[in-house]
Parts: sequence; C-alpha cells; structure tokens
Amino acid sequence: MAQRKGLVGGFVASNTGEIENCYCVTSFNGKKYVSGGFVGENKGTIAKSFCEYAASGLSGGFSGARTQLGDGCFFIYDQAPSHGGNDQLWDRKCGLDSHKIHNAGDAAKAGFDMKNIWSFTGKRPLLCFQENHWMFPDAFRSLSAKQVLSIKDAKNLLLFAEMVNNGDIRFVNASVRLDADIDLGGKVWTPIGLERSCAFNGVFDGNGYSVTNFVVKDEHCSKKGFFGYLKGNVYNLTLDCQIKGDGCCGGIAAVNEGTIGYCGAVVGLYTKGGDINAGGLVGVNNGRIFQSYAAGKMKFFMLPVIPLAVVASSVMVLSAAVFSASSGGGNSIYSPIAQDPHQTQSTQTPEPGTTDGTDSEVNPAGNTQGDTDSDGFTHSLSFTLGQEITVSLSSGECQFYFTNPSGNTNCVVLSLEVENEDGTRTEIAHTGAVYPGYRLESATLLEGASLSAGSYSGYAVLTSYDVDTHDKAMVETELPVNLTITE
Amino acid sequence: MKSSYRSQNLKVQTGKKRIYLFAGVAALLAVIALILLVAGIRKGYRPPSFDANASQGTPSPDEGYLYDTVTTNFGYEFGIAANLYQQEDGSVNAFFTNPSSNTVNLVCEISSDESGDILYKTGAIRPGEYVASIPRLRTFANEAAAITVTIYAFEPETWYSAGTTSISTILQAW
Repeated sequence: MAQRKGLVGGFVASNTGEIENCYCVTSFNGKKYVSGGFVGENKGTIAKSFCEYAASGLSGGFSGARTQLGDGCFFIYDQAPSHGGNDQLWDRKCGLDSHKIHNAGDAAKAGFDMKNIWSFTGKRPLLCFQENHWMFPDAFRSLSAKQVLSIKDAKNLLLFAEMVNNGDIRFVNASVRLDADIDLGGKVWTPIGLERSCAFNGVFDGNGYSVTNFVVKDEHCSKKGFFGYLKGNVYNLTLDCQIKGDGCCGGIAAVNEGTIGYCGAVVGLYTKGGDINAGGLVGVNNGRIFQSYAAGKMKFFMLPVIPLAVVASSVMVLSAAVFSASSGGGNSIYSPIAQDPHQTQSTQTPEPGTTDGTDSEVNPAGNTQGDTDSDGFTHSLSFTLGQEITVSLSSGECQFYFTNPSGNTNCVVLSLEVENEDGTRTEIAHTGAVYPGYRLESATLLEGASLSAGSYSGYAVLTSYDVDTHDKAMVETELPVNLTITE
Repeated sequence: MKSSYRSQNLKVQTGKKRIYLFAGVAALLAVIALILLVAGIRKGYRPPSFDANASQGTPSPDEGYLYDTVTTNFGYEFGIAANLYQQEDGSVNAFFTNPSSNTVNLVCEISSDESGDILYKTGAIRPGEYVASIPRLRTFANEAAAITVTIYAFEPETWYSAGTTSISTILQAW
C-alpha cells in the first residue's frame, strides 16, 4: 500500500489545541493522505464532536492518525463503509449508526448537550445558532461604539484585509464587527494575515452575518483561508468559499492560534494533490475552537470542467461546421435526388426478360435498355416495368409496377408522360429516386395535370443517376405504356 | 440579512453561478452546433455560385484558339477553345460558353491528368453567357501538361445532374 502523505480532516487537518462541540459534514476521498472524517491527526483535545461519514478511503472514521480521542467523539454513518464495513478503520468503535439517532433523546444519550448547545433537526444534531444562544456575549462588552470597526460592504472588507497584511497595527489588533452579509462576487481573496508577522490578533465578530462567494487561490500563498494566520478571536461568522491549490488550507483559517467560536465554513476545496494540510474549518489548529461546523467537499484533483465544457462545445461547433461544409460541396457537385418515400425493398427481383406471373394485371416485364457512348463504352440499364398503368383521378394516384434490380449501380427516376392528340407530351407524374433493390408501385399525379377518364398512350421516361455522385448516367430510356385513367 | 435563527447550510454555493454561467454558454454552443448540424443535414447540398466573370452573348476569339461548339450525348452544347494556353498570369483563355439554346447551367473544370489537381474552375454559367478567361486555382509549372476538361451540367431549378462530359486535351505552356 502506498504511503499516505499530508493530513486531511473534514474539520481540521491537524490539531494540537482544543476542539469542543463541533461537527462537520464534508465529503472527500482521503485515500492518499492521513485522513479522518473529522481530523487528520489529533495531538490535542477533541470532545463532544462528530462528523458524518461522507468520505472514502480514510484511515480513520473520526481521526486519521492513531491518537487518543476525547469523550463523545463520533463518526455517524448511514451505511457501514464498504470494503468490510468499518473494519478497516482503526477507530471503528467511534462509529454511530445514524439509524439509532431518531430524536434529541437519542442524541442526548450519545452525550450531546441538547439543552444548551445542540438541537435536533432532520437526521442529525445541529448546533443551536439561535441568537440568544450563539451570540458571543463578551466580545465587545468593554468597548465603545467608536472603538469597533464596522464593516458593511466588500470594499471595506478588502481594505481591512489589505491593512492587516500591510502590518498596520491598528488593524492587526482591531475589534471588527460585520454589520451586513457580504458577497464578494467570486473575487480572489487574499487571506487576512498572510504572514505570521501580520497575523490578525484582534477580535472579529461576524455578528451572525456571512461572507460569501470568494476564492482563495494565490499560488504564492501557502496559507489559504479567510484568515491565513489567526492569533485573535473570531466569532459568529459563517463563510461560503472555494479554496484552490496546495499548502495549509482551512475555511476560517489556515493556521489558528487564537479562538474560533460559533463559526461555520462551507468550503469547496480543490487541491492538486501536493503537500497539504487541509481541513474544512481550519488547516492547523493550535488554539481553541468551539461550537462551530464545517461542510462542503474536498476534491484532490481539479477536473477542468469549464475548459472541458468550452472545448467540447467548440469541437461540436467545429465538427458541425465541418460536417455542414463537407456535406455542402465535398463529395458531390450535383444535388442529390431524394429517394422516393414510397419505394419498398424488393423481395422478389425478376430477372430482366422474364415476366412476373404473380400479378397479371400489371404484367411486369423485364427490360434492358442500352446506349453506346461516343468513347465506345456501352451503358445499359436493367429494370422491370409493367406496361399497363392505371391513373385514378379521385385519389390522384398512378398505379404501376416498377423494380430497379439490386444488380444496378444507378438509382432511377421514373417520369410518366401522356401523348396529346397533336403528338406533344404532357408529364403527369414523376417519382423520386428508386434505388437498386427497391420497387415502386405508385406515384402522385402532378398538380395541374388536366386529364379525363379514358385510355391513352403514353411514355415512361426513365432517367438514371449514379447513387454516389448523383451524376446523370448516359443512358436515358423511354418505353411506351398504356394509361387507363378512371374517375 | 441577520436572522434570529441561522440555518446551517451545508452545501457550497460559491462558484455555482459561474458553473451555471459556463453551463449556459456550453448549452448555447451546443444548441448552435445542433442548429448548424440540422441545417447542414437539411441543406445537404450547396449549389455552385454563379460565375461573376460571366458575360452575356457569345465570344469572338482569334482563330488561333480553334473555338468551337460541342454537342454532348446528353443533348446540351457548350463552346470552348480547342487550343488552351496558359497565360502569363496563369489564367487560361478558354472562352467557355453556355449557348442560349441550352436549358441547363454549366460549370467547366480543368484538372491535371498527372496530379488530379483542379487547376481551373468556373462558377455556374447560365444559358447565353460565356467566360473568356478562367483564373487558375493553384500555381503549377509553366509547361505543357495533359489535362481533362470536365463539363458539369445542371438542371436550373433543382441543380440535379443533366450529365457530365469530359474531354482530354493538352494545356500549352505560356
């Protein structure tokens, strides 16, 4: 088995601090890493926390590394993980079947404080984020309004981050409060406290508001999160963001050496699979985290969905254009003649020169008509055509019997002409292309064909075309036919 | 907006708009591709465009060109110079004519017997029109070469074939 490198946890990658009353619902595949559903490696204290087993390839259901866990640490599973149930997980004793937690009472039995900290909604215990419960009461109690930096929009939030990263001591140690939800509109975010030397050391109160829609992906920044280095306190803040790249990654902070409480991070984390310490809320926790959660997904490769979609679409357009162009002028200079929709495959193809006795009315007869080209080549056309043709004026249909033998290489268009008293001819019907091996027994009268009932002499004019090039063949044939026109 | 109870959303929203946007763009491109495809299938055939250099009437070339009218086995006629010379600019003075007695449109194509390359090609020429000089489509050696002159005839409305005629001859050097 390949050696696992890097630490990955649904909540934190590495913990040497304290974590209590936290949970995470983070989906990922931790096959290549020391990975646990909640924490990659724990050398600190974790208590009364759980993760939903939404991951695969983990070395531990709750903790990736084999270290001591505190009381009330669970990984909750809907179905026992595949490949031998939970047997491959070193901490399988921490597994809790979700089907055994039906209500708050069941959760309380498992050790969750359902009165003050947790509530039961849906299928899992959730943190009580009700105002009277979760607002941290002491954050600014001793400060006047003027001493609190109020941030209400993206512009001021970006400015604040810049000032901290510039090492401005007034901002590094500031007491900050969000007074509105802030949507950063998909902007690339530079973490607050980019370097340890300018780590945020003040108090940041999210005040129940959210910062959403930002991406942390600076290649030169190894600490990726809303905060890079955090030494101060962050409360009541929720985030929704994407983190792309390697290094130390966490939604709220890459490295926490301060305090995080009542916070939540919903993170889409995409890493190339290099050296990482990736956690949903915090990458490396050396401080204290309580009553917080992390959710989202981690993907340890970046499928280039967008470029693929664009490329695929471009290829489609290009191929369509090429197809269109090639079908337009490529193989055939001539317009193809549409196949007659009424032609049917000929199951019985009479040999030329024979008579099909099965239908005495149409009296089909085999014919071979030939012509000799000026270059000396003889062109011939074989077909079977009944000489008796009936035309029904009421239905507007001509009935006949015509077969293009399968041995032919040309398709044939049949035109029916009636001979007028003055010797001229009038076309009354023509067919579409009848392909070799097909027969045709009817054609529609042309609009405007002025006919009256009776018997007439006429001609069937057969024009043949190459089936591939649609080029008119040298031989063109006409046969006398008897036309019986009925009302 | 701050609410008295903050729900714990567990699904990432960041980037979704972008995904939707690109999915929309991709879908739009797919639709365009589909339209092109359908149009290509339905269209299926693009007739040759009419020759912009065609002139009305009949040409009056020098006798040296041995201009004559040929009647084909398909019933249509065409006029062409029997002596075909490559000109200094590479063109050929073919005086290709579609007589007014015809009912078909004509296209004249001259290709090299050696390479099969098409050296000259006119657009469609209506009855009663002619093209005196045909510009070359590609560069080739200025030396005598065996060529095939192919005349394509089209039914005027449908662009169905009215028969193809070929003549083998020599293209003289300039």
